[in-house]
Amino acid sequence: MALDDDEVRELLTVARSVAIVPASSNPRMSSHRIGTYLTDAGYEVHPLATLDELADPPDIVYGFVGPGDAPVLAEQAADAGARAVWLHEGIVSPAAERVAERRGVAIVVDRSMEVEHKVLLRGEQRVYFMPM
Amino acid sequence: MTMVSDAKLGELAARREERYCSKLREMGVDHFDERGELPDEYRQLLRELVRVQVDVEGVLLFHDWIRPWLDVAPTPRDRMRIGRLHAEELVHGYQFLKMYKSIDHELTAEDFADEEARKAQYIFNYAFDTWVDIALLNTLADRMGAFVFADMEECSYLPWRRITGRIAKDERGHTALGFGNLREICETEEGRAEAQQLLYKWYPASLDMFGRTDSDRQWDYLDWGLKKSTNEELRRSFVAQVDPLIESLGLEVPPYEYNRRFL
Repeated sequence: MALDDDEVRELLTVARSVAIVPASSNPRMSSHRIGTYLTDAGYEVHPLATLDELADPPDIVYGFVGPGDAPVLAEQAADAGARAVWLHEGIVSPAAERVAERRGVAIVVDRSMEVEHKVLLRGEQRVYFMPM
Repeated sequence: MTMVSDAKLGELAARREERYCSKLREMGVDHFDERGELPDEYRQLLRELVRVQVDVEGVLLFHDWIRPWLDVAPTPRDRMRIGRLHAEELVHGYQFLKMYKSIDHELTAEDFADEEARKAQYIFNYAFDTWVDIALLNTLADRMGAFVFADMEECSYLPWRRITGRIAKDERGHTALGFGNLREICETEEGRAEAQQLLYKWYPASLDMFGRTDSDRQWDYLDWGLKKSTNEELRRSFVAQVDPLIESLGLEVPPYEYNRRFL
């Protein structure tokens, strides 16, 4: 079962390190932009191509992957000793949730870590407007 | 592809044929105008429709939420185009604010002070982090808007009918702009990968914007000739148009039911 607001707030409060995978070096890409935000917010951010590059277990593995790759990412996050695996906005995966539950890893789905940090820790409003 | 069968679509079409403008026929009228008296039910339905547009576009007259788009637009040409899009959205918003005033009351900044209280659709709670987000949003959500406004070109409320063709045209321009930007983005492997990932965010939310297939309210709009098509019919037309475009860029369209909240 994916974490609810209170659990996400707790996770964001206790977490210190975030492994972003796959991370882009291009500042125009969301993984890079959000990684920069999280660094500025005080997290120890590890931008990675794959989790094999990890030296130490991160608190959170933040995946910028599609739903098809999410279950494997959840397995890899568990293997890496992460406390939680986080799937970016738009990504849901019941299979990944089952993996996380089986492996004892918390899972966050369909959320931006930047948005949740702003809303749940900094008290900003959850409104991002786009016209139609 | 969908949970809605062809038989179900046939039922929807038959019911739509039966219901379309049925209450107008009972009254022996075929439209209403700004200065005429509106039946209570009609006024309430119209107010809801206008309020949605006010929350989506009119709100821009009180909050500068498109300004950050200029920061992520990669070139001066892109910034100019986004600026023009913004101006058109402000015009739409002002038109619907005026319409709301004519059928209910004048909305002021106080009505938009509590951003959480806005009734806009959940797609507007997703973050736009990058130029790719904006390209996808314009490609998908503005196209949805074009479909909805085009469906109302014979709307029974004449003030809406007078402006809807122009707005549909603007929205088609926005979606063409978005698709052109998306095509440029997909010219690189990295850009295409980012677009594929973010498609899972914007595509289902765009499909949900059309409303539930079994919505009761859609029949009320049809009864009064405010809308012409059912939610699912419009959504099917949208999918038929947009899916091949997405696939032409080498992207995989998410499953129809993936992460949907309003089936």
